[in-house]
Amino acid sequence: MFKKLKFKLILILAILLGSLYYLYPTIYLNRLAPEEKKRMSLSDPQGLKELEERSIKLGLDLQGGMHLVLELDNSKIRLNSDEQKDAIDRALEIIRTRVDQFGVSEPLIQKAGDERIIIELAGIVDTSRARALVQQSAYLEFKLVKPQSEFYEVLKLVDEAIADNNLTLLPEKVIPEPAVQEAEKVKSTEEFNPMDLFGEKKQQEAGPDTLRKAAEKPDTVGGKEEKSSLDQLLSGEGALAKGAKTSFSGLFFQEPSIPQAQERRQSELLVPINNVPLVKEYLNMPQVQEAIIQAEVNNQLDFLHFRSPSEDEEPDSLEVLWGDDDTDLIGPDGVAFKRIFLMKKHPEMTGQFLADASATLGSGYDPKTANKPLVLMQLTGEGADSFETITELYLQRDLAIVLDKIVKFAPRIMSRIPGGRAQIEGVPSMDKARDLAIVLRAGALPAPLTIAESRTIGPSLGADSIQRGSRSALIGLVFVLVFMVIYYRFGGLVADVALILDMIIILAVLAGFNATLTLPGIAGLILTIGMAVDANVLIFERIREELRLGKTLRAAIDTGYERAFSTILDSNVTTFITAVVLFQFGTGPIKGFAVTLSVGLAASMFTAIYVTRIIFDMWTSRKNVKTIAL
Amino acid sequence: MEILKNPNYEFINYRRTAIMISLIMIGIGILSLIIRGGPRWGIDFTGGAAITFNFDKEIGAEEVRSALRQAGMESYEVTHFGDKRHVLVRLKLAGSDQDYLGAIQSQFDKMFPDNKYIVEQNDIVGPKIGTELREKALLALLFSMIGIIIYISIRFEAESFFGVLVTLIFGLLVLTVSTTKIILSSDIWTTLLIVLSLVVVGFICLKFDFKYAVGAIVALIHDVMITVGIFSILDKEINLTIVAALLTIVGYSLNDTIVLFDRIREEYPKERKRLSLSRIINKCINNVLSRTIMTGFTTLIVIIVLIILGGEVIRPFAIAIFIGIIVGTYSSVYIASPVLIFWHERYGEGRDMARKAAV
Repeated sequence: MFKKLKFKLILILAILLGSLYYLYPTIYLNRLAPEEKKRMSLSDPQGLKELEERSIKLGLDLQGGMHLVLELDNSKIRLNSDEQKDAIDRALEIIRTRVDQFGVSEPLIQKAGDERIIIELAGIVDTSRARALVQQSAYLEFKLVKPQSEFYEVLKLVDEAIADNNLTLLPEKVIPEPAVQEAEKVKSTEEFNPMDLFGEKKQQEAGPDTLRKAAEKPDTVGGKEEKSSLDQLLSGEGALAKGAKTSFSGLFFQEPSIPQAQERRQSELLVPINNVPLVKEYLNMPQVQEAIIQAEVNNQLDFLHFRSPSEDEEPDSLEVLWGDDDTDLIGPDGVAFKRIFLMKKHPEMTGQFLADASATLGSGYDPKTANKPLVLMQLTGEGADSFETITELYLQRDLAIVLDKIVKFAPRIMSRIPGGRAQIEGVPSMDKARDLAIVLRAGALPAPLTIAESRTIGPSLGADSIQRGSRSALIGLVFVLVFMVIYYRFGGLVADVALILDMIIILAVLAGFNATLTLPGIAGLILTIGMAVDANVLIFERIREELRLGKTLRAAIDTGYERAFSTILDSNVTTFITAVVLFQFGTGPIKGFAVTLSVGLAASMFTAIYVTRIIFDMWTSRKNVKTIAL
Repeated sequence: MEILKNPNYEFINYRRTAIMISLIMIGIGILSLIIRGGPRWGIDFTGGAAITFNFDKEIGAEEVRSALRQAGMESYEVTHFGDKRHVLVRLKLAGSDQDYLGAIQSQFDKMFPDNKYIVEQNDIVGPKIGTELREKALLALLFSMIGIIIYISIRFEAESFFGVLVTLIFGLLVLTVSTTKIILSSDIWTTLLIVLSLVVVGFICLKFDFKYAVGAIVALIHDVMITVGIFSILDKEINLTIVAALLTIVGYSLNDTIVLFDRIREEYPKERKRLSLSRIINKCINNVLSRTIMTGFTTLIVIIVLIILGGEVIRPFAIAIFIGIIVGTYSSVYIASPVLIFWHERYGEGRDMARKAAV
């Protein structure tokens, strides 16, 4: 019997330790001062992201932020259900791109049924920006990508600008000299093949399909080893490798000079995901932007125009744009890279010249296209002429398809394309093809998007709610703990232990399942405190009764637990039913309430029945305990 | 410490007085509802905008109203939210998608240049969403009602297997019907469905002598009605969170009732030769009195702390739960049990005993 008891005790301790383990990220994250957090977001964004993912998620009503429900305004135009679906898909694509620019970590963007889009942005409270998000029409542009050699030159110019103006961020962060590394295969998540732009007539084959990239050596930027320098960063020191120099260009993954790699991918550069926030910070600086716009590079041929630039636009200016998230490349050790492009700022063509685009499977016998996904583009009459000239002039160059300033795809022009019918090959999957077709057609929606519902909570109110909520929870808990001891003495103490264990378990479960804590959720937690006691009360009252009837201590405890069990089960099940219904039909904050209530019920049942019983058994099995103060 | 050792108070004999009080309270509630033209629905259900402003310095409601007037707002309500620096503005939506906030903000900037403010909360609910949320709330009520009825019948009336089966089938039928388009798209149909279900459940209880189920259900309905009545009297808003509170109250009240009924079921076979049902019930109430007071007390403490310290946003929710706990505990003793007795004497086994006593 004692052995069994020991085993059960170990089990409880294991659960306790496990819970604390799950709660650790939340506690750690909470104790980071805002400046430390900002530093971490620049120096070790992956680490920060992991911490956040493993912490308790805060609902919008506690974080501050916006919840939007968008739908198409059907009042003026009748859309049949296919058009409706298509329009929503297109809108979704546009919204996704735009939300990216808000810089929100993990925005929620999803379709709700066929007619609505739900967006949740933590930390953003500006309703006018939200309207802009929704009401602006999408901007589709085709821009010419500059070759890598020119990109390198621009990077050097930026380095100089940063050094000249003393703008280096995180000076102690070490970034070694870019070097040519060994070539190794880099596998993409979906065998992302470079894409090509062909006319009706197929041209000769392009280079090998697989991408060959150099792998980073472990002690360079972007490798996992950087994590250990986090501690150094946070404490303000920095390790200095031999001959290292901090620079902007060092943040980029440098291309080895291997002919095959160059031939296939001669235009974009890659940035390891961990460096992306830093690069973005630099790119935000006005001096850096100035340096990029004004960069003088070769290749005058690029600056013929097919549209007259507007008054204030510098015809020769350049810009730097990022690739879309789902075109990220994953290296062999799981490190992700974002694509970044240097391009001519002035577009070669804009979305108004696109008449239609569709995704299809290639027919015919050509191995490059047979049964492979393709995207067909159809241009307007005017567009067809310009496009013919563009493709003739810029053969073998990459033409980026840019939606709202994000490079969605950048196929290579493989042939001159007359007649305005082009096909894009090398698309990795049918889904990607469909996405690309949507992007191309995203230019205009058949009906405007309206905001059907918007809930915005200011961050100050959110922080206030957390504070008040947790304070109430704590004080309520203390009251109950004290009261239990006063009324049930030893039993009360046992119940208190169970209650505290209870709370820890609930929070750990929330953290472990990445559940969201809302303000009603905190109320649910508080309610659970009050109700968790009920199970214990039921048991103790029964035990008291049995003792009064003259039973021995052991027998009284046994009967008490037995009789009380079914009642405890019943009362918890009924509350559980309502919690399930609330979860099913409730909105965000109410769902949070349902979750904490349910988890709380389960946990309190466990602690009340199992844990307190063990404590009692342990206590009574010692020597000669005949009575307990109850 | 033990406050009540072997209590033996009289409860049951006061039941007629208690029922009177309950009926009066419900009556006042209904009166209030009629006078005010129904409950005060929040924007969740009616659609509209609710914006909370947090000003640096105190500002009068009338000043804000005139600012709104100047900004071109037509149908609005201004109240203070917590203290005189917080202002809650409620608007009806005139057209779709106007920039209400923008217009109001520029007016505030113009009229109160030296009283800075921040927008703490801004909720806009379009008419379509409002209708949907209404439907969701009604469905939630329906589903929990059915769920609870099925559960009670399984738990307490298991002897009548056929009765339980009928309840189960009927419940599932109602649930399936309730999710069809016809019901969903109309408040009237949904309410009708709810009322109809209750009536049918009443018949089932009659047919299968589900005395416990009846007692519990009547107590639940009583609790909801009193809470809604009090909210109407105090002119408090009913939105989705309050509906959630109502459902939670239902769950809690049922808890309490079940604890008592469990006891009654335990004691009845033992004591039925000696005592009448009323006396048995009174004994049981005394038996569980300790537990009832304890649990009620601890839950009330935490809720009171929440009401005092929890802040304006969660306060209505906490108040609803507070009312619900008190009423829910009361209803187990003075609504559920009397119904049980009444049923027993009218329709159940007590018929014969009552007749004998009368003779």
